[in-house]
Amino acid sequence: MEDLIYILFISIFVPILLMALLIEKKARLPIAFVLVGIFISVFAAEINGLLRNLIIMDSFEFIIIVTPITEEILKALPILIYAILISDKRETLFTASMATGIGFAVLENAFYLLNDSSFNMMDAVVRAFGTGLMHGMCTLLVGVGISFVRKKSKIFIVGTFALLSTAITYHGIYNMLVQSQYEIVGFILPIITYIPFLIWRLKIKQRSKSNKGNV
Amino acid sequence: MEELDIVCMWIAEIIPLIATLFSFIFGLRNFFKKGKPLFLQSITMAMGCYSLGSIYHLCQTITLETVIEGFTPAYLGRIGFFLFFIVASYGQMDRIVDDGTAKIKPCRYIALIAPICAAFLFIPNAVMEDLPLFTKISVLLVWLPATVSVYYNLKHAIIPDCDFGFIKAIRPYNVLAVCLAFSELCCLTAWDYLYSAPLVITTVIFSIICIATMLLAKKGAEQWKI
Repeated sequence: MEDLIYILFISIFVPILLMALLIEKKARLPIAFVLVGIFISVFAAEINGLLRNLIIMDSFEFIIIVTPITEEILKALPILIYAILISDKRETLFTASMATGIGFAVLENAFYLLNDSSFNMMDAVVRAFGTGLMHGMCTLLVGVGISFVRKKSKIFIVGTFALLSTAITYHGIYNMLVQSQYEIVGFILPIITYIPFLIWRLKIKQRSKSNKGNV
Repeated sequence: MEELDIVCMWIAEIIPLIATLFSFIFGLRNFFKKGKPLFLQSITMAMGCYSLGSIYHLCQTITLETVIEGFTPAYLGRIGFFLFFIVASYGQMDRIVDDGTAKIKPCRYIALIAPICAAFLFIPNAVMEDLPLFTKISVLLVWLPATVSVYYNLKHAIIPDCDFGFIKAIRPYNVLAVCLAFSELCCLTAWDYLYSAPLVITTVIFSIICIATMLLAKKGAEQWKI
């Protein structure tokens, strides 16, 4: 089934889109960016397919070198456009970037699931935590970083490239490990990065709550 | 490859990784607090980016039997490292220390020595016959942001102090940032030539300077506040 990714895209994208039209305005932003992520996933699959034909490389090298570059650039684009045209507030970019990454991972995971007949429950759990978090964390890094560098036009371009470099390298490490015999290390990597980040976020929220309480 | 060479390669892989990872964690603990200047956060990110590049390189060595020639995301770790240093020096510090007056003009010219020296350091890589063209281009991509970074760091290291004492406080950091960039460029050349002894020496020097840079950046920023 060559059109499998489009079948998946329609069956996941359309119901969420229809829901997004009905929900409250506040909840619409993350849902909209999940949809953007899903769309970017299809787009990235097409771009990677095109590059696969153009670049002479074996599939392993392609996955650890080219795929992280194309996917991270494509995932960062909607966040960049949003930050430039609409809002560069840190909290908004935080939500938008995480949602884009997760949306991207949803379609990618579904695609792998249907393409691999030996896929079992364990694989699903591992992929959900591994790939889901990895895409989320990479886009989050770029999104939150943009909120820092956006305020100073002098460093916006350099800073964005630097953030993209970091995200691509992280993505490359993940892809390399999951394709190797150290697959489990690859899947644990995003969780190791996510947990300290989650604790840090919770601490910040708690602090701001207690500050509000004091006022 | 002899056993000693293999040991040297492993040292060159692991020591900078530990040093940058330590610097990154140190930065996360000390510099990501409310009211801390952006340049401290940028250099922390530079360390994080470099350590990711090192992890990529290490994983590549462990998981693959063959060496990938040409561009890999490991180079992006180094490119990001220098880009974050540019963000720190050009983006934040330069607007404070360089007011655009003629008084600072000689410093701007003297600082050009650093990128020229960095460009000369690239020559051994450029003329190396065994190195594939793609690898040379990848190395060049690391060199370009490095030349910009060393220019600003040297400029800020030699610029006369202003009334606020900021430049004086941050001078040791800038001197070390120049040394850090040059030691990394030497590391890259040593990696390309696979000379074991220079590789170990340059990576150890790089690692020491890495940690010292973070400590001096913290000290400088604290002094400036006082």
